[in-house]
Order: sequence, then C-alpha cells, then structure tokens
Amino acid sequence: MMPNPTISEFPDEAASPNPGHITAVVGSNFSGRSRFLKTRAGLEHHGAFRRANHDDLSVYIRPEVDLSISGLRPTTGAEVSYHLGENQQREGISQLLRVAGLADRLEQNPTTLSGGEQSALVFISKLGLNPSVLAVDCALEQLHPTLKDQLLTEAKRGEFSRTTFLLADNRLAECAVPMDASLESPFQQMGGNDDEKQIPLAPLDSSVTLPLNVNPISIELNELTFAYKRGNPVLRDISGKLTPGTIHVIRGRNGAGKSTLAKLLCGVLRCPSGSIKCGGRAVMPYYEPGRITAYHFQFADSQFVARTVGEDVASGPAARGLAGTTLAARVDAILAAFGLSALKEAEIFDLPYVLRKRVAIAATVATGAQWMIFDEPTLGQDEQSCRSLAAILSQLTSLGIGVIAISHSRFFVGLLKGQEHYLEDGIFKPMPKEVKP
Amino acid sequence: MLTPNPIARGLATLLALIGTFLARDAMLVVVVYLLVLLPLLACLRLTRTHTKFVFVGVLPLAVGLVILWGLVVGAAPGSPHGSAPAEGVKHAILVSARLAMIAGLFQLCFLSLPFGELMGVLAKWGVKSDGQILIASAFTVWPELQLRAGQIVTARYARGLVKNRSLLTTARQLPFLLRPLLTWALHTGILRAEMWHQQNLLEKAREASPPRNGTVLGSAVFVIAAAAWLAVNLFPLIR
Repeated sequence: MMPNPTISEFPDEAASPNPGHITAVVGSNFSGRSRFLKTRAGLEHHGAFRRANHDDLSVYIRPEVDLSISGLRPTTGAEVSYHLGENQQREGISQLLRVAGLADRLEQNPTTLSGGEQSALVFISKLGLNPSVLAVDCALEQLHPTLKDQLLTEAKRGEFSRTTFLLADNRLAECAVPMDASLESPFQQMGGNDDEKQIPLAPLDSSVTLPLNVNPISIELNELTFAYKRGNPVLRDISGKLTPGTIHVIRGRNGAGKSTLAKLLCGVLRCPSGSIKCGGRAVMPYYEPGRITAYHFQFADSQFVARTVGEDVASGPAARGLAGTTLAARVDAILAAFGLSALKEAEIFDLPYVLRKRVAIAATVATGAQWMIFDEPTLGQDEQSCRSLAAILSQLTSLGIGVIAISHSRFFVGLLKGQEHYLEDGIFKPMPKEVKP
Repeated sequence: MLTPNPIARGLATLLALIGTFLARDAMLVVVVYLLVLLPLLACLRLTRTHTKFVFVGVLPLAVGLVILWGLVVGAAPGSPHGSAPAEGVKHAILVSARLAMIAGLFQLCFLSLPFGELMGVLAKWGVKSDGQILIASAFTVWPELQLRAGQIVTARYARGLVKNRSLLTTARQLPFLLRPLLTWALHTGILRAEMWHQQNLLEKAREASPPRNGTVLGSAVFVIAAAAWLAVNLFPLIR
C-alpha cells in the first residue's frame, strides 16, 4: 500500500475544517473517496488510524457498518452510552434516536437490528463521540431517503456544530437536505489513487451473455406471518403472486420486514404460518434452503464461503452439480459480466468494499437458481455501476429467472422499471406518493 | 453494601485462585463451591452463565476424568495402576471441582461488573490501554464467533450449498465453517481493536460507568474470606 499523504498536502478546501457543515465528497468508484475520508479521519502513513485525543477526534464510518459497531456490550442502549462517555444527557442524541426509531429498542442487541437501523445507530453513536471530523463512507446508503434526510437535518443543528461532516454517498442526488459544499476526491487532483491502481479494475459489462438456463416458475405467497419475538410480528398475512419476466422491487422503511421476507422465501428462516407455492407446488424453502431462491445479503461480507473470488463464485453452481468445463464457462462469463475476471485468484477480503459487494452479487447470480433476491445490491456502487447492474438484472429476467430487488435507491428502482411492492407494518400496502421515483 | 473496591476485588480473586490451585481435599472444594460460590453467583445473576459453562465445559471433562482415573488407570496419579480406583475418582472430582471453582471466581470477578466499570477496575489495577484492549477482545470474541458462525451457515443455506436441514447435513457443515470463521474472527477482531483504540472507546466506556469505590466492609469481607480459603488449603501443605 502506498503511504497516504498528510492532510497538509491536500488542497485547502479538502484540508480545512468546516464545523457544522456537511461537505459532499463526490466521485465515482475508485476515485479515491475512501482513501481521502480515511486520511481526513486520521489514517497514518503506515495504514493504521491515529489515536486521537478528546479535543481532536476524527471518526471514519466504513461502508460495512456492522464493523463500526463496537461490539463491546450486547444492547443498543449500551452501544450509544459507551460512545457518550461522561456526558450521558445529550438531547441531540436522544432526538436522533427517536427519529431513527431506536429510542424504544435500546434493550435490543445491535446485531439483530436491520441493516438500515444499524447504519442509523452507528451514525448516532459516532456523533455521540463529539468528533471534530465525521467521515461517512457510503454508510448511510442503506437508510430510507426520508430517514436519511431527517438524520442529516438533525445533525446540522446546534449540538453538533463543532463537527465537520464529510459525506460520501452515491445516493446524494436523492437527498432533500442541501449539502453545504461539494468536494471531489483530492487524490484525483493529486495525480490519481495509487492504492487502488494496484488492483486491476474493470467496469461491469452487461453485454456479456450469462450462460444460465432455467425453467421459469411463479411464486405464490399465502398469508405468510413471521415474528422474531412472540406477539411482535414483523410480517402479517403477506399474500401475493410473483411471476418471472419482470423485476419485483420490494420497498419500505428500515425495519419494515423486507429482508425478513427475503429470508423466508429463500429458506433461511422457517415460516411458522402461511404457505409458499412454487410453480403451483407447495414448498417449504426452510427444508431445501437456497434451492429455488438464492439470496444476496445486504451485508455482502457475511455471504462469502470461500477464500478467493473464483472459488466463491463457483461454489453455488458446483453445489448444484455443475462441474468441468460447464462450471468453468459459467464462472468465467459471470466474472466477466461483473468486471472481476482479473481478480479470479484474488483473496476476497483483500478487495475494497465496492468489489466485495460485486463478488457477492456475482456469486448469487452464478447459482443459476430459478429465483434470485438481491438485497440492496447497489450499496457503494456509483451511477455507472448501477446502470450496468440494472441491465444485468434485466438480462436475468429475460432468461426466465425471477428477480426480486430490495432497494432504497429511487434512482436504481427507476432503472429497473419493475413491479413495485411497498411493505409497511408487515403487509403490502399501496405505494405512498413520496417514495415514488 | 458488600461491594469491594477494585483493589480488594483483585486481591480477593487472586488469593481465592491460589487457594483453589493449592486445594487437595476434593470434598472441601465441592462444599465451598456449593455453599459459597454458587450462592454468590446467584446473587449477582450469573447462575445461567456459570451453569452453561459447567454443562458444556466441566461436566464432560469430569466424566472423562472419572473414566480415565477411576476405571482405566484405577488410581490417583503417582500410585500403581489399579491400586485404588476410589482415589482415582476422588482425584478426577478434585480436578473438575477446581476447574468449576476457578471459572466461577473469574466470572464473579469480571462478569459481575458493567463493561465500562470493568475497564475502570482494570485501569485501577494498572492494566494499560493495550492490555485493556486484549481483555475487551476476550470478552467480545465469543459473541462475535457465534454471530459469524450463524452468518456463515446462513450464507451457505442462502446459496443452496446445504441440501437439507438434517442433523447429518448440518454436522457436515463444520469443516466449511472453520476457515471463514477464523478469517472473519481475525479480520473483525483487528478492525474492532483499532476502532476502540482510535476512538478512545474503552476510555469513554469507563467514563460512562465509572468504578464504584466499594465499601470497607465489603472489601474486608471478601479479602478475609479469600485469605481464609488460602490458609485452609495452604496449612496442610506446610504442616
């Protein structure tokens, strides 16, 4: 890894503090945004974060937000409390918790919160550290746009006026809160992003024909109900028919049960009541998980089962009986479609987040399952990647594969041109006007 | 009222641990364990955690040791094979009871405190930043492993890599679990430790729940009790 420059080497607008202001750090993938944010948040030349003192604390929130949760104690309340330190009574923090719907869930283990709720928790708890710089690297993309607007509006209020916010977010165009300033990654101005140049990069290529061949089937849901805790159902009597040939987009607020529904469909969770029919046949996905429906997780890192990119992508089709040249051909084509051909032998955890996310999506596509669910597939992906990804998902539907996408990105949902389902209070409801693209 | 101060807490634990290591009378260890340690653990609501450890860690070991020393060797260590099976069983009970006792003492000392307070206690003992991170990591590693193990198995289900949910198929997932689990544990462990360090999180946690000073009475009771336990076990050795 090339050593990072010191902050003083950056141009003035990138190095100077801007308390109480939110500066959008704009740029495409691999433009050096993450490196810039890390450097501003105190990454040293040798790659570790500089230990800060109380008055000059800079915090970097990584895109894989679950890794920004401290893990010190098993409740949401303690997580926030341990960030607040001596000053436990902070009205601004309490207000943010209320806005995020976390105020009445302080006893819950943070790891059991939904992805979006974890994002909100991390943002709030790191604000509780009262940092001089808060560098957010695509960590708020999982938030429902309305909630993101509310959190950013609250964050700009008086209590946090000493904090300089640096926000990298590929969905800023959908954000109603105006940014105070905009900044391109200084690495581009300084001659490129040397760190990421060492990784052979290629864009997604939706023109690659995916060698997948499935027998299209529909899915019927009949009064599906599910609760993690007795008496507190997340899904209530969900019914409907999903047919292949169009992309089904599931939308809804954070914690509405979108991922839970996906997990029921692919068989990760057991459906305690209600039934699922696939192709007219009653099935219990729990007892044959992932066979009909493969699921791409929101947190890509929790999906990997192998060491290298090639092994991980090959694992799904290999488990379905593919071998030899057929398997190799499928893996190669899918790696080419996702711009990963040159990374076939690369160790997954050596790759930056944006590429790990692509590997995880590619691995789901490679399974060749009749239905595929993509949970927030565009996290960390720039506009061009979103367009290519939408084209790849469209190609899947043209091959007869049923595709379900879960996304908060209005831009991506608009690209998909699919059938939208809005989940609220555990049931499908008509789409509210304010969430339409 | 009976809360010891941080120094007394450390001293009492140390004395009790040495006493337990020196103990040679299996029945005495069992009696103290049942009549003193278990009620204390119950008062501090640690019974469940302790029982889990006993059932998962101590009991299987105890059964193994009883079979080994009581049936296979048929004698305590140092005695001729088959000479005294009852002594072999007694030795097995002593080792197992000591283990349960030591685990209980550690749980009593460390788990009875809120995390932030524990960090404060460690600071009072002179454990510096890196040492605190090491100890905090020890506390977080098991929940992290549980979480990640669940995620890896779930990932295998979600990708169709596990054909069904039979017990045999589930057991067969174990080899696939180990490598990613180890990689993940190291990966997240390093990232988390760096985050605690950079963001002063352990210090903040200490500030959030500073250690209680404890009472003189509480400190005295625990230190005297631990010293008595040490003396009881030390006396027969030096006599």
